[in-house]
Amino acid sequence: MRIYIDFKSPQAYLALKPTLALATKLGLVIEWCGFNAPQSVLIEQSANEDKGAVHRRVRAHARHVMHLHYAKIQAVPMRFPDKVTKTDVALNVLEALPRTERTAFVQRAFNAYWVESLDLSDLSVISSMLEEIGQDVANQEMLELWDGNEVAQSVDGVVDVPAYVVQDQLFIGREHLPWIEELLTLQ
Amino acid sequence: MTLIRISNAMPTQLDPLFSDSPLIVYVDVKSPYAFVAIEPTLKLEAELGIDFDWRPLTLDIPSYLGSARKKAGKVVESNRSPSQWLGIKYAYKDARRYAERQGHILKGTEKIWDSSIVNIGILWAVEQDRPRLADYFAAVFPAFWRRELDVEDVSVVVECLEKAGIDSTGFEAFQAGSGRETHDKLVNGLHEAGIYGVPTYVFGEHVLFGREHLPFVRWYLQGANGSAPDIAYEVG
Repeated sequence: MRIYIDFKSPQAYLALKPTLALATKLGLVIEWCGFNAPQSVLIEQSANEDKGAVHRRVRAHARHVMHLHYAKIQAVPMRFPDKVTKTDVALNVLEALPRTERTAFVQRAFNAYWVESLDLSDLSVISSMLEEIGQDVANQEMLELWDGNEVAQSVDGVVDVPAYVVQDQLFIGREHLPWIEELLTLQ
Repeated sequence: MTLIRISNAMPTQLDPLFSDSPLIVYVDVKSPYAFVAIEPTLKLEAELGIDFDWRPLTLDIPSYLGSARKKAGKVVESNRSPSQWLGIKYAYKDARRYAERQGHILKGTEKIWDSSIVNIGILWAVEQDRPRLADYFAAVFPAFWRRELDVEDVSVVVECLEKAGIDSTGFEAFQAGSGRETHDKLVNGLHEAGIYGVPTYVFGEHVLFGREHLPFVRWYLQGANGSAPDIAYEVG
């Protein structure tokens, strides 16, 4: 099973625990891949908002509240950053790791972002994380391997994360895990 | 939060967040997400033996997702960005496979419909013959998504009401008068209440968009015993 993620995506973070539980249950090896997803940020109310602006502001707030609600249900800590952040270095390094050996880094990076508020665009931060999980430290070469979202979009049609590619079907969101489990079990 | 009833008759102004039912469900006939949410939500309603408070939320899609018109399967007008198109294509593909699991056909619409009349039909069904509301949904949703209904034509909506066994006498005046007024006031007040899409479920202090919340809705309405469930599209 191939799964596209971005460490700054709240829905990708909240998918981690149930996805790993499913992988353990079915004995699956996950191929984690990076996808630079748009960051959802809270929007301040402003004067002269048109209908579309109001819609986007209300939606952003509702989704923020909803993510925190399910974080509490999952009993996972979750602290939203107070500014727009980048995760591009971490996503590049993810691509440089062996495809079937990325889970430890994925877990470490999600925790770094959502619990420790670390900067995942800082190469030294990423190197420390790699050392912690027994991988070689990050280097500049690692940052040149990833094609960004090109393959994800053109081959798999990914538009957001978490995106699961299972038997040539694309499922975006952990809400699809029951169907994904059904597919993998029948297989 | 205590849920209260505003009045026994259909009020001219519904409070977006309050009802005498423990659950308000907002839907729009032109939403593929609402279409695939109807059956599992009706199933939960039957399972719990509770009348949910079903309400219309007629979406103004062009205001937040751009607009487009197709003819013979080809886009002839559009002000959507490439990323909006990618997202919309995925959304339809996703809704289609779940609709097929339910035994339905879901064809992409060729234009953005004004679904207000057929949605006012929901208010009419609730007021006139609440036990047949599910029959109205059955008369409207699958046919619309097979591209067999012109839901902007009031006579087509009247036929759907009759097909559902609901007396439609007076509907034409209702949809142009008091029903339209109730509908418009409700829809215009939804953003302020934190409601922006369909299906939206309002219960207790929760306002949740998407049928993936049905496991949590069930858990809550059954007394919130044990661990609360995560989001999921239930299958099987």
